[in-house]
Order: sequence, then C-alpha cells, then structure tokens
Amino acid sequence: MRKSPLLILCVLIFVLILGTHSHLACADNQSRIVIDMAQESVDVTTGFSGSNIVVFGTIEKQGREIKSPGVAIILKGPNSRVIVREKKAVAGMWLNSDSIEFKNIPHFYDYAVNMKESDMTSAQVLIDNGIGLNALVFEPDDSDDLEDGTRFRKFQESLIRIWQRDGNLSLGGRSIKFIGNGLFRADFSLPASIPTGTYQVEAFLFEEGKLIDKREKILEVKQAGMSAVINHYAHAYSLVYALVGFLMAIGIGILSANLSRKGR
Amino acid sequence: MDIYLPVAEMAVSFEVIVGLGVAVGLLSSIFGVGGGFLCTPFLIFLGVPASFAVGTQAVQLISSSLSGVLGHWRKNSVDFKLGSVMLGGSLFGTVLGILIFKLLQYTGQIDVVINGLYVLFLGSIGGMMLYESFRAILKKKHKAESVRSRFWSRVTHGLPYPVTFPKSNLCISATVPIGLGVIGGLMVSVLGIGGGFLLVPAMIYILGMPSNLVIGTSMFQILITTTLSALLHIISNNTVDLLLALVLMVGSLIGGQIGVRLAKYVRGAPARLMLALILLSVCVMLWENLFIEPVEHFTTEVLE
Repeated sequence: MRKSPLLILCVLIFVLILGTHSHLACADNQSRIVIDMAQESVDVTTGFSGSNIVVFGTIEKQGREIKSPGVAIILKGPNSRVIVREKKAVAGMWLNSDSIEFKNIPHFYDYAVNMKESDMTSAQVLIDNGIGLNALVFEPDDSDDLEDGTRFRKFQESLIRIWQRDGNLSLGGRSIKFIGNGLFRADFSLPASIPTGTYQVEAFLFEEGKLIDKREKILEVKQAGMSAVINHYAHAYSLVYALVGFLMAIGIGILSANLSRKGR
Repeated sequence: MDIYLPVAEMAVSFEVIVGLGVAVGLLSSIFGVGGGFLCTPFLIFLGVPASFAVGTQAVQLISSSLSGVLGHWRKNSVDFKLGSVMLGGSLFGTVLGILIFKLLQYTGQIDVVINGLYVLFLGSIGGMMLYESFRAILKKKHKAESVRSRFWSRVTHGLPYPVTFPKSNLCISATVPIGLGVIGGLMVSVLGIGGGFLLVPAMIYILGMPSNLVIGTSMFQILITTTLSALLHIISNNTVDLLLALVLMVGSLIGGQIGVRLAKYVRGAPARLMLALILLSVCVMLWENLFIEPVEHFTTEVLE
C-alpha cells in the first residue's frame, strides 16, 4: 500500500473540513437567528411607487446567554451588467468618451445592522459574508480595465454615487430596532424603479466577532396584474402586442379626427 | 402620481406624461407638426431610455398622423400620388434607420447623436422659419409662400425620371420626393419624429408644392412610415411601451381638441413665427445638454 500516506492525508483533511463545518452547523446548543418578512413577494403593478420591506426576527437562545449579539441583515437584488460611461468635452461637446462594463453587480443592495460594523466583527468577515458596501465586488467585464487602478476606482465610485442617489445602493447601514425579548425588526425601502427578479434576504448573528448563525430567505419582486400581462405580451407575442398598439392608435386617431370636425 | 411602465420597467410621473401629450396635441393641431420633436427629448430627459422614447413615439405618431390624414382627406387636401412616391424612399429610410439605431446603441453614443441631430434640425429649421415669417409679417404678405425657391428649382431641374403630379400641379423628378422620403423615414426610426417640421418646409421650398396640400400629404406619408417603424421597434427591440403610448395619446387627444378650437386665431405667418420660437427654444434646451458641462460626468446603463 504505497498510497497510504496520501490516503491518510485525504481522510485527515476530510475530518478537518467536517470538524470546522460542524462547529457552525450542528451545534445544537448554539443560539440561532430566525427571520421572516411581512410579505414574501412584492407585486409591481401599474400603480407601483416603491415598497417598504419589513424584515423581523428573533434570536433563539439555546442554553447560555450570548454576550452582545451582533445582527446584520442584507437585502440584495438580482445581479446585472452595468455600463458606466464618462462624458468628456470633445471639441466643446460633451460626448460619452470612456466606459467600463461591470458584471455581477446587484441591481439593488441595502443592509441593516444593530451596531457599528467595526464593533460587530472584523473587516474580513464582513467582506466574506457580503455585509456592507465595501463587500460589493466590482468586477469588470474586460479584465484589462483593472490595469489602471485610478481610472477603475473613478468609475466604480461613480457607479456607487449614482446608484446611491437613485436609491439602488445603501447609503450606509440602516439600523435594526430591538423591540424586546430578542425580537427585532429592520425596515428597508425599495424605490419605484427597482428591477424585478429574485431578491435575497440574509441574516447573520455574531457573537464577539464570530459568526454563529446565518439564515437566508427569498423575496420575489415581480410584475403583477395588468402590468405583468402587458409585459408578457410584449415579449412573448410581439405581433399581437403590435396589433393591439395599432388598434389603440387607430381608434384614438379616428376619435380625434371626428371630434376635431365637430369642433371646427 | 407615478405610473409604472410595464415594458420599460420604470416609474414616471403620470401628470407630466399627460401634460407632454397635451403639448404635443396642441402643436399638431395648431401647426400641423407631429410634436415628436418635443416629446422624444422630453421623455429622454425624464429618464426614459432613448430606445423606448423613440419606439413608443412611433405608436403615438400613428394616432396623430391618422387623425391628421383623415381631416385633410375630407378637405381633399392630400396628394396621394406624391405621398406614395415619397413612401418608396421613406420605407427604405425606416429600415436603414432601425439598423443605424442599433449600431449607435452598441457604441453607446445614441443619446448624444439624437441630441446633436435635434440641435442641428431644430436650429436650422427654426432659424429659417423665424427669418421667413418675420419677413412675411413685415411685408404683410399672407399666403404667397408656396413659391418654390429659385435655387431649388435650378438644382432639381436636370434630374432623371420626371413624373407629373396633377393634384399638386407639379412635374418634378421622382428622385426628389423619394430622397425627401428617405430623410423622413430615417427621422421616424432614429429620432422618433414624423419629421413634419423638416418635411413640410422642404416640400414647399424644394418640391414647390402648394402649401394647402403639404401637411395632409406629409401626414399620409408619415402614417405609413411610422406604422412600419413601430412594428420594427416592437419586433426587433421590444422597445415600445404601450401604457406610455396610451397615456401620451390620450393627452394629445385632449390637447388636439383644445388646439383645433384655438387654431382659427393663429394663422399664417404669425403661427409660423410662434412655431419657429418653440423649435428654437427646444433647440437651446438640447444645445445646453450637449455643450454645457454636465454636473454629473458619469452615466450608468443596465444591460440586464
């Protein structure tokens, strides 16, 4: 059995991985975080003008008391590709001159915390778990764009600035309110022009800088009612959609012509 | 109140869109121009992507040009033969325009090009109209502007394929109306405007058409062209939002009715002077976009 040292090493690694994992997952005497939302989906109808998302939850204590629990909740939209363009003056005209295309950028990102992030855990743990604006990864579509660091940072900062202004990116952590008895709530607001898709709600429980539990939920943001029907027809049955548009335009056109004749 | 546009997937103010429709309706019933030159830049200004502004505008143009054609047809002031010859050019121009639009979108310059072309067209037509209407008012000459300018009659004189248009009492080479048609088609599919404000004076000055036939004929041509453009925008790009189109059309229906009743008070040269001033002010607004340093140098566009 020549390979035995390798085999032993493999088993050892396996046990090690299992060990670290069990530390998080199968600790029955560990406290847990539980969350839920007032609504599991957001219906975007023709009258949609933004929506408030309330995430509430509690810490289920098992056995001992947790010392200064840190709670973080993130709300993240579907990933998208974004082009950021810079206008420069060319012969007196402000033209789109330079651009960087980013991929896998969440089209919406906000988070809430119950204490200062730096008090909750280390910067590295925050980044690993995607908590906070610093944890957002700005990955260019073309890796050549990374070569010039200053230029890349300038585009990245502009994207953050514009999306913050539009309400798509967090302005800094919202606060989590503890109502008592371990019950807490976090309020998020979605602007009117949010993208539809599957949003993720993730909750983290920290104890003295260590992540001890994590929960994930899904929030569906989808068009509903008339809005959904129109969108569906526009994409699935373009010809029918066009025909409806024509009939609508023709009807209004004829009505307008008849009214004008009477009005003259 | 905001309404959520289901296909453009964004929210816009309902009142502003209705107001825009009313303004377009007023312009088209008083001056006989489509009003797209006001609508498209304004929609873009409100944050509607250029592709949706242009595509949706094509549908709204169907209703306004149809209403115009019907009115002129009753008055027997449409030269269908001349309009059909123009159509030969404009249908080609429309298809070409859709391709150009896609190319510009790809290079990311669509907004700048649309902006620049508007400045160019509105500025030159507005300026010419301003000059002409001033002169007409000063000379107290109220209707003789249908005279084809001597310059253009010389330029178009030797061209091949002469065709007689009995209704307009014209004999002119078919290449001239076809050429105008190509420009009209390009304007519909790239700029989202019928191009009436460019075609109407061109038909008067270049073709030498009688001015009472010009508006009806150009609207007939625009009606067919914009129907094709709307169809192509829907099928190839999915960039038509019918809810937006409906709100605009209802607004313009209201504006049109107000305009019809106002139209008897604004006629001839003073009306053209007013239109010239409107064209020039939109031009100045867009000129600022292009030439004044923007507060935010960066823009973002989500590609999905």
